Amino acid sequence: MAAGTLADLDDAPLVPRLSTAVVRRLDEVVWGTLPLAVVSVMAIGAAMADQAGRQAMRLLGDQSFIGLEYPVLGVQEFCPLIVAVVLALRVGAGVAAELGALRADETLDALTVLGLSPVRARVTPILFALPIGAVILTLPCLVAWETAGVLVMLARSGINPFTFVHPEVITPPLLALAAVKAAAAGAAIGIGAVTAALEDAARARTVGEIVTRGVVRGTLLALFVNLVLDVWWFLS
Amino acid sequence: MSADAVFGGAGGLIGRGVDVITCVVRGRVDVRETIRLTDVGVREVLGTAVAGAIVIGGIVGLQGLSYLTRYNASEVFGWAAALSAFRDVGPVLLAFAIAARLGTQNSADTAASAARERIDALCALGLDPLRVVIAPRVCAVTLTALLLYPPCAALMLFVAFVFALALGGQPVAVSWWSVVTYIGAGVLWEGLGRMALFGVVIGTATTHAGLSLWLSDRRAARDIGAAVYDGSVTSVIAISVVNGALSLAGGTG
Repeated sequence: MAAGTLADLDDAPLVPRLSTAVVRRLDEVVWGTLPLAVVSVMAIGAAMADQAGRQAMRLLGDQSFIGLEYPVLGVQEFCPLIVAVVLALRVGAGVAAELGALRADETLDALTVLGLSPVRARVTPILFALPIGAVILTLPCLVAWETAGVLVMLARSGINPFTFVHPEVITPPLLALAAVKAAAAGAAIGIGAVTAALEDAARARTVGEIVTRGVVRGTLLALFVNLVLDVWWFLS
Repeated sequence: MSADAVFGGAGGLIGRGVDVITCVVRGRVDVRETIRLTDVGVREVLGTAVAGAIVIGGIVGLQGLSYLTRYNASEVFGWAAALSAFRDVGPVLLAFAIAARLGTQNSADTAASAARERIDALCALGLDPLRVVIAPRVCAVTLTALLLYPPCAALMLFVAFVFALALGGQPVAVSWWSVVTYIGAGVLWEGLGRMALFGVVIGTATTHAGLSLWLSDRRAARDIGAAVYDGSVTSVIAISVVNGALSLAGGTG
């Protein structure tokens, strides 16, 4: 038994294959974040739909166009944006905390001494998993956004869901924009968290300070990328 | 005074919030510590909040522009941008920025104090942690959110106007006329009220997460990171849900 265990240890790689590590990270990024992202998107979607309905009635006396505009607003702006913020606060904080703690207890240095690359072992998987995970997360969030709108408009204004839902306004270019925004934001969050944890100045900081820097950097970078893509979309 | 004596009947996060509000209503908050933490909070969050306000203002402006070009609704652009910046979008995104900067730091500081047994030391000196640690932190986050809201909301609106002028040729005078005509003071008060509630939520969630180390045996660096992470997640959910509830219950502006 003991010999077998030692043999297993000898055979086991200290650093898993990149694809295996990315899949493990994706599990954390997608499944770990999905409930949080869906709840946030539904709460903000419900608020937006209700306000849009009430403002439209107040100013125009007509809510018929909301079903056409609401999904566009979700796909183009809010779903990728909320997914980005949630990922920055959840996964960005987790990555910065993990790398910061590994640095504080000198695990990363130990990996280097063993001839292993800390970047390959710990950083590269998350930099792949975050953009892919952000795109995957955005899809159920789009459904959650539309569901929140349907429920709120039905409950508050009595609008029939079949007249509210307009899938034809979700065009392939719009979906591509949402995917690009989500992927870019995911990459920005990963870069923000990793740079905050691995920069030279981080050695003198506590784990909490590293997490704060990582989250702030990731959030602002993701918002900035979102704005740049908005400008590009508007001009094109 | 033991940890159980302070939090034994608190019943988690909501109980912690009720404890803090009770403490504030009874005037038992350490005012000097609250002012010090608010001063630190405003200084440290200002840069993040201003950067966030500029980007959010740009997003608000571009969203308004897309409707302006499709419906030729120049005269309501200012109204829609102001409503978004002051009440519907600005406060919630600003709250996320405050949660990212001040919330995570609040969790980290509180968790580090718990891990290094500073809170045990306060208890040993006969001081009440609710009065000298928890309530001042929640109040400071709330005051910081309230103090940052007016300049950041104004900056968001200004940036939205600049984007609309630069990219869509929307005259600033028309946008401003629209704001003055359609936006009442109630919208600003509602936005301020939302920021106050978001501040209470962020302060309570992050302080609660940090103090969880005090009640456990987990005191390592990794545990401080986990506490910060818990505080962030709770803040995001709480801000989203509170914002949804307020919008559903609120007026039309």
